[in-house]
Amino acid sequence: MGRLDNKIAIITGATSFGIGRETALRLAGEGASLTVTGRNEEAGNETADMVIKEGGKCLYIQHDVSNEDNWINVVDKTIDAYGSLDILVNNAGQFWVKSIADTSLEDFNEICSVNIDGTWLGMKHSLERMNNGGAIVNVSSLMGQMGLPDGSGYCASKGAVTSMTKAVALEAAEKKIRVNALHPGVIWTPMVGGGEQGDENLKNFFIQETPIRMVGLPEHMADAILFLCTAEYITGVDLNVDGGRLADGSMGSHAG
Amino acid sequence: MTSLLNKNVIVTGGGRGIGKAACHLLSKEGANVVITCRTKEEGLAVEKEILDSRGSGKYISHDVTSEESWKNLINQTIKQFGRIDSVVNNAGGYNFESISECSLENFQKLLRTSLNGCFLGLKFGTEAIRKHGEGGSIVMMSSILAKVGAPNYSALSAAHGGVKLLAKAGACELGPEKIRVNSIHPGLVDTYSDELFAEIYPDATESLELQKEIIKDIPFNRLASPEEVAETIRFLVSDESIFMTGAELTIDGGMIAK
Repeated sequence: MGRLDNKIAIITGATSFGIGRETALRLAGEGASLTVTGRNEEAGNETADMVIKEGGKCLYIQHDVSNEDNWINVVDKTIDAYGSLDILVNNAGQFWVKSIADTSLEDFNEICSVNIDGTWLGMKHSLERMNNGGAIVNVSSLMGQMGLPDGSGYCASKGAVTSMTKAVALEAAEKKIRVNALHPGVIWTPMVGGGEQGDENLKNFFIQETPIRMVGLPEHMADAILFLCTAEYITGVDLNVDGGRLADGSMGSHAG
Repeated sequence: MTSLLNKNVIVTGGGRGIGKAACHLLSKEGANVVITCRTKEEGLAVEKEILDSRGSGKYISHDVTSEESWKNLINQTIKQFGRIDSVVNNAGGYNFESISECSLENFQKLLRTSLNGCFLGLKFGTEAIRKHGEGGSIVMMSSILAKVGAPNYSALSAAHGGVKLLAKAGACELGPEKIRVNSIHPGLVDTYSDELFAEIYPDATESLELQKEIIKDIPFNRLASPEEVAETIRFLVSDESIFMTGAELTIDGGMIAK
């Protein structure tokens, strides 16, 4: 018996090694039927094949999260395939660092369109078609709560995700749908220069900066996302899973 | 379910309410549970229920405000189960007095139970976890009063705010040893029947009336069940939250998002 038996979930940004793919495997392992989305068709099909090989149900749909028609298509096809919708994991996101002087308005608009519009459109088009008692998890970031030099675009976009999560949580409460934000710390994926080909020096830097002296892994986020999908009285919160990075500010990393 | 197989967990205030629900859930998930509280009959009743459902549990009499009592608890737990992996600092007092009504004595009494108790749990829990050096999880029961203010809750706000940052300080200091420290922030929890509440807190019937008014304003229009809060304890004790420390886990049906 799984914790998500008979549940239908959409996970965005699940096309390569990272939080999305790991979440797909975790939720499917608990019995959920999935739609995984992303821009890279080959990698998306690879994720779907991995889930199916583990005995799960999974459909890949090509998807640019900043495009409204794409979103309508993803929700339509999911409901066509499985009959209803219970869970949305807004995981797709863009990350880069660039000084504010070097960041063009086009750069800024682009990261906002993926991280803010993408999350907002997902909630907009899923919420009204979602079963009562469902759950939305928006993958925000530690950087939605603290500053990162050269991160004006990323911080702005993730701060917006965290804030609108609370607003939509209040609207969705009527249907007992829970809407929460996950705040990962440094997760060792290609997005931050990590993963299998990552630089060991960079990894050690991140480890020393984190009180618990490790980098996060996609599986840690998948566990937290599963928790938020199943915790029936939790809504409108931000859950930090960051090895203590936010708690320590810049003081604690010098202790121990 | 086996998410806590072979973990040895102490739950303070385990005789009733959230603590009792946590003891049952943790034991169902495979943990060896030490139930502590001051009311012996309640602790023994939880122990019996756990043993009757083929779980592993042991009641140990304990006053969270006493260092001697903590030392005794740790020694007895290690004697019984061999080691300690987790301490859930759930015990706490109540005070519903206005600032004018609340005497310094009452204020300090609440701090002793709710804040000093957590400090001692962190201190002695850490010492016990260090004995095996494999890390562990310390859970602090705070509340949304550590995040927002409310009339007639000055003592609880001070205590729970202290508990929240005590957890963060612990997280930073103990992170390198893989000892995780997190706080839980429930909103209103359906812990007791109205009759039992009036019996336990005879001076707080006004608060009970107020609670009924407040429920209408909770986005989820209901209280949390003790079992729902217990599930957050299970998550923080388990390895499913292995990268989580110094974090606040709020469970309030949307109350403070508003």
